[in-house]
Amino acid sequence: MRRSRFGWIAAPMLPWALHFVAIYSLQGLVCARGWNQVGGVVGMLALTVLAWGATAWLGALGRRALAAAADDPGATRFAARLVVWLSLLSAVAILFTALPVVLLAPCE
Amino acid sequence: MNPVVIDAKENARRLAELDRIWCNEPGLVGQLRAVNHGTVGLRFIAAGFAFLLVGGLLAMFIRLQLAWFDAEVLDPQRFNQFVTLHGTTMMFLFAVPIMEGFAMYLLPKMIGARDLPFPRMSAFGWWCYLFGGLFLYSSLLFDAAPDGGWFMYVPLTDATFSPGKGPDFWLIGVTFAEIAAVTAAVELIVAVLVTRAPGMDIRRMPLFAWAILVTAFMIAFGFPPLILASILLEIQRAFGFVFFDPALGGDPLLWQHLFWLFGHPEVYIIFLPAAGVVSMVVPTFARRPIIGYTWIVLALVATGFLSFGLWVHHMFAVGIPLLALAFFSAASMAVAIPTAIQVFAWIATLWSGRPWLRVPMLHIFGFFVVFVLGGLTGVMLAFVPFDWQAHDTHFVVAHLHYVLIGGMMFPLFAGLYYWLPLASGRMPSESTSRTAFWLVFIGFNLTFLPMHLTGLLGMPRRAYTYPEELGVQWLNLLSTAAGFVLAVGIIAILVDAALCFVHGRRGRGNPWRAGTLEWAVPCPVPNYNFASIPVVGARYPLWHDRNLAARTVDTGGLLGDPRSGRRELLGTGPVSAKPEQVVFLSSSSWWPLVCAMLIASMLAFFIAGYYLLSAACLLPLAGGFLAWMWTTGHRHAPLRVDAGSGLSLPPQSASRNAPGWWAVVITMLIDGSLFASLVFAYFYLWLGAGAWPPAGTGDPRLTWGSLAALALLAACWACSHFAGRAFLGGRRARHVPLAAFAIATACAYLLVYPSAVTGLVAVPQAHAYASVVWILAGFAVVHVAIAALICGFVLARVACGHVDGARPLEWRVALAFLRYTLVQAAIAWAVVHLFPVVQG
Repeated sequence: MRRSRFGWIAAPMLPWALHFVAIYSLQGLVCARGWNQVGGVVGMLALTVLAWGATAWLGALGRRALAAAADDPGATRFAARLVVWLSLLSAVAILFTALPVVLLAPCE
Repeated sequence: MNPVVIDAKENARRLAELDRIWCNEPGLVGQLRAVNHGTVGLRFIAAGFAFLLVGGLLAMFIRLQLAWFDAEVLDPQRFNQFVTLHGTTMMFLFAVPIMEGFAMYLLPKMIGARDLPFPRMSAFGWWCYLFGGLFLYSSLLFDAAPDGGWFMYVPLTDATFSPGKGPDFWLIGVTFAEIAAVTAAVELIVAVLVTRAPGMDIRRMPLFAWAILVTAFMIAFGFPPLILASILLEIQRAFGFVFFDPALGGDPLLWQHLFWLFGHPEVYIIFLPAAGVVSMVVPTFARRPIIGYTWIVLALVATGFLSFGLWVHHMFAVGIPLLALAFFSAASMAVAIPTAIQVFAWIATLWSGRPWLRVPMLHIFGFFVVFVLGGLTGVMLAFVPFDWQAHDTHFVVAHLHYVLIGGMMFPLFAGLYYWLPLASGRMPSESTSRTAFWLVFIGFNLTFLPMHLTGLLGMPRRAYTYPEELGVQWLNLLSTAAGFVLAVGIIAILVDAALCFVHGRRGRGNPWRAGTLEWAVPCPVPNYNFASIPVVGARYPLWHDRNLAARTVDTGGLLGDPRSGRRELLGTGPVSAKPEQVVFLSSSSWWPLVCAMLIASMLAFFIAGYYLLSAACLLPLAGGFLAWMWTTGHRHAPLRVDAGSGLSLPPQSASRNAPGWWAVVITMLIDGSLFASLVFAYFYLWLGAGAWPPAGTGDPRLTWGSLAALALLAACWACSHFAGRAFLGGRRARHVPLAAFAIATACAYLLVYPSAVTGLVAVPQAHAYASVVWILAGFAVVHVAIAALICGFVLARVACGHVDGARPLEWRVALAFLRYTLVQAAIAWAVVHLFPVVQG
């Protein structure tokens, strides 16, 4: 990810989006195709951990970029600050979206 | 970048020359050929308000019918038609286009540009929107208005239950009008990315520009699912394909998924620009910079993503497993967080400022009250158990009107009053505008507040009447009476705005003492906006530099010298906003109108059932687009252009960040979203099917024909790759034959592949599997054909000397699109030929 690009700003939300699509698709497949439900739940939790890892990594990148641009009040620092906060928001959103996996049976 | 001092006489000469270059030609012809963003933007706004009045008139009829139980103002069918047209008009012909109109008119002024990067495309979008709207409303003349609801649920709208032309008018008219949304998305993204004034880096962009950027990306991903669904349903209705018919393997829920995959982001596509307007108006009337700029940008980006995870909350009652509903329920609650961040930032700004209660601010006050209430009922409805109770009742009607009118219309009126002095040079009437606001505010609340109650008492929505036993007739009578108060208020606002152009008190420039760049433009607004491109050093340039407005009529700065005799823009870097290129724009032209008229004829023949004539229109249409493309660009542009202030820059044809390059990137995103929706449809149908392919509908073997098609795609990729390298290396003798060979292999694929598919699957009318495979293959083939045509066109341009190794933009664009279509065709090939084998 080049730090001078616009896409870098939106990057932290991508794990949330991909995670959302992945767990919803997996849930649909498990129920429509009659796959093992326990395996499905484990898969959804694994996807959640993966998405969390991706967000944490992006957040760390953002923090590093922020530290590197400490004395530069310019666009780079602004983008890095956005990335850090968006990573945090994305992490919360991933957890919140995945919370029902441990509360509900997959196919009721 | 220091401006040069020039004498007054030379300055006047340059201003006159700029005016001549940028003005529309005189008379009706000039209006028909006009492409200027000011002209086109105002047309979008005017037409949007016209459609608001029409949609509002329909709403009045609906309210009259519901004023009392067993009323007979409209018969059931007419009621359904009016409800359908009301929703469709307000969504597709008012809310989205008018926000685009505001963006088109204001954005270049806000970011210090003279125009949008693709003026002819804006004009084309305008004609498509106008003709699409008229197309939809022409259904009333044929007594064939659509009556399936603005959401057009199947099977209600399929050929069995809606045998007339109603749904066809909706599907074709709305899709035609949506071309404008998609072209505007490309246009606005590119405008925000590469045409900002020097120095306006991403920390200094006006928040409206941020909002429009996010919104345009949402349009790019959100509109294609609906466009695809509309195409599929129209093909099902016209040619008997089966996508949504469960008897032959289709699924009616597929329609709902595709529709709401657009329909929910749509709500935010409308709200985010309105939030951008609020972020512009609030600091001006709080008389201080916005608080939490970073937080608002963060909220916009987060909302842009989160709003795509909400669509199933429109489908809580269709029988999807609870866990899946819970994902969407969680996301529906989560999306309130970024929205709340924005609301608190606005409140904080007002709190710490010295608020000035003028009419725009009154509408912002209305927005706060109404939108927050709508948001709260939204969070209520995000809870699945509550939604099951309130589903399909007037509680939902109350919620959606609170959110849409609160979240979009109040900010829209705030923006209308705020920017009226900019467009008209005159001030609106204080007394009329205040009275109108209170009529709208009180009328609105008394119309829709009772609906929460009627809904909770069980009054169904989308039904032409209700039983007396519910006891809701008095509340409905109140709603109806107040609805007319609301209507009077809106008419008063529009009359006030129209009269302002003629009778308003003449205002001085920047009457609200705002800090953003659009108020630096002299009054009345010249067609070129800025005599020389301003250099920006702060988030609120006018508060930061008191002399900036005076300098915008001085031609001593960037692009102040109109010596090329062409319309010029300054292109800057997407993040840093450092000057990178001079963009030569196209001027007035017939082609946008001609192409839109050809599309209109094609669709008119189609709906009348003259399919051959409709297909025959494709030939002049392709010719029209090619002729249009041939007349763009600046063939004789030097490789370095003097941009003034001692700056020398390349033209866009030699620049890496050229608008055309970004446009093709965004186009590929939009197209990719369309294709992804189609692939989703394939797998969705597979999910519900037992055997795949179902018995007797297909034979999943890898045949020589299909393998040959794949080999041709690979050969085309290789040829285009080497052709590209030869071109950039300036070896024209090698480039031309290689490029020609790439086009030839693409054409061979077009010949080989269709027969390879039809040999493997049954006729599309037999089963949903066959239907979706035909469409997938057809989608790939049509795209490769278009890419081959574009490559041939660019090759002709190379031969005529328009494009060469030093000015490679057009070739880069053609090559990128060709490669995109090859990858897309390969994915389609894998889905059609490999997937059944693998999963079998």
